[in-house]
Amino acid sequence: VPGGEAAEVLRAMARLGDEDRELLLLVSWEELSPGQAAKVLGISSLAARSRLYRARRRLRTLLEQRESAAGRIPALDKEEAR
Amino acid sequence: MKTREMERALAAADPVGGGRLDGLDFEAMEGELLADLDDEQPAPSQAGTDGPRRLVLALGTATLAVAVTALVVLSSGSSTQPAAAEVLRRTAAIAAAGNVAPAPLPKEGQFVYAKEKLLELRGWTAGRQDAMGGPLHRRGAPGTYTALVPVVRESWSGPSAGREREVMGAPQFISPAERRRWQRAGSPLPGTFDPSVQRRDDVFLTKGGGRVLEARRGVYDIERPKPPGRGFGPNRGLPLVNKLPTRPEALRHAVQRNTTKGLGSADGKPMNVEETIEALFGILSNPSATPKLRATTFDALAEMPGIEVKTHATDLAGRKGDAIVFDDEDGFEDEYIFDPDTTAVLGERSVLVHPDDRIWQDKGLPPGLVFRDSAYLGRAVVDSTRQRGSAPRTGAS
Repeated sequence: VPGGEAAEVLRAMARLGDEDRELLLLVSWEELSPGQAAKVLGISSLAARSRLYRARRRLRTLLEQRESAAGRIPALDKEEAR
Repeated sequence: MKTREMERALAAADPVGGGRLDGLDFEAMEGELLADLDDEQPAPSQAGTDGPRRLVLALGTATLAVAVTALVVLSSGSSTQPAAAEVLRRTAAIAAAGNVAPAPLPKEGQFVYAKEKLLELRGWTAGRQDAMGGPLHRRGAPGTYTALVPVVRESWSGPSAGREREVMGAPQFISPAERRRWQRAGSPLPGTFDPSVQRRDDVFLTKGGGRVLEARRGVYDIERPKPPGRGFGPNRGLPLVNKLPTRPEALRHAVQRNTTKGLGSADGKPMNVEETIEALFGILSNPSATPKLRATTFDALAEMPGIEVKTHATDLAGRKGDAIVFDDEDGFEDEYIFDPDTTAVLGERSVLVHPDDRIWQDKGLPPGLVFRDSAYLGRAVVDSTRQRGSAPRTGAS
């Protein structure tokens, strides 16, 4: 994510709950699959998928609020962009 | 009637309900963990030169090595194992013969109570309420630690409130060096178990409402309006099992399609094999599942590709059973342990058997490392967060 957008994403990430932020970091920063992240967090694969889905949705909402003027949402990660 | 026979009889009457809470001494279980933890209190002398502490260290390391080895051996497949489908279909027939009505779904104001014994790989930072990245983040960095942590956990899940009680035992470190580093730092515990964190953390100060029932080294017990980050619907997280198909093929397809509310993932995408097995095992641990549905679920599991059944498995609580074994695509071997005589679910285990992925190699995680080992000690629908089904009283309540 380019500079300005990176800052936007980081600010939005900071407003997420700890659990959401942790899961998103494991998947996007550590490049874990949802299944691997589930093992690290000690939760089921299905719970990880659900949390990831909801965390991305919350992040998207936060970014939409910030970016509504620009009318553009940065790609959250490769999987989200597909 | 011997205790074991009593447990089996109770389990047969109600495979995953309150009956299974009997016959297990929770107070003793928590007491053992805390006694182990007390042994880890920092000694006044230098840790590295203290004879008895060295012995404790050596014993601890040896125990871990044996445990890891045992798990690897236990987890390996065997050509003498009976065919998985045969075992599971036999278990399905036993489940179908169950003649006790399933537990009703929780009503307004009721809670789902669950108790489990766990051995979890956890990472923590001394003096902080943070579990970010579990065993991966900042491993080896000053003030951060990674270890297998034994825990007895109880939870009460309601629509708008809940309670969590955890008691931890002595951490089991991946290496003697890691253990020595932790001891030299004064044996700091993960945040929620650390009195210095408990004295100042928002959750323990009940800023969001709620009440601390107990907080001390190795123990926390908190009642709060809603578990953070989690919401429970009218069925308290239990899927509406009475709406599931009762033919194996139809059940498997329904689960794989991920269209059953509360059973799959919120993203609505179809499940892979690993997730389908996980969801089917989840049905078996649901106290509201009928004998017919439990039988159908075992039959559906019998159809799953890539599974093996290991007889003579043992769960974390030492109970004997059979295990459905599946090697997932992330290098883990997952075990789902059940009692073949009563069909009751006993526990789950996840072992890193192929740490080929860069992420595991970078962190130095060895093959055979247990990430999570859990024994389900009971689940029941109760009327308050002070009730434990038919379990004997423990600790704070």
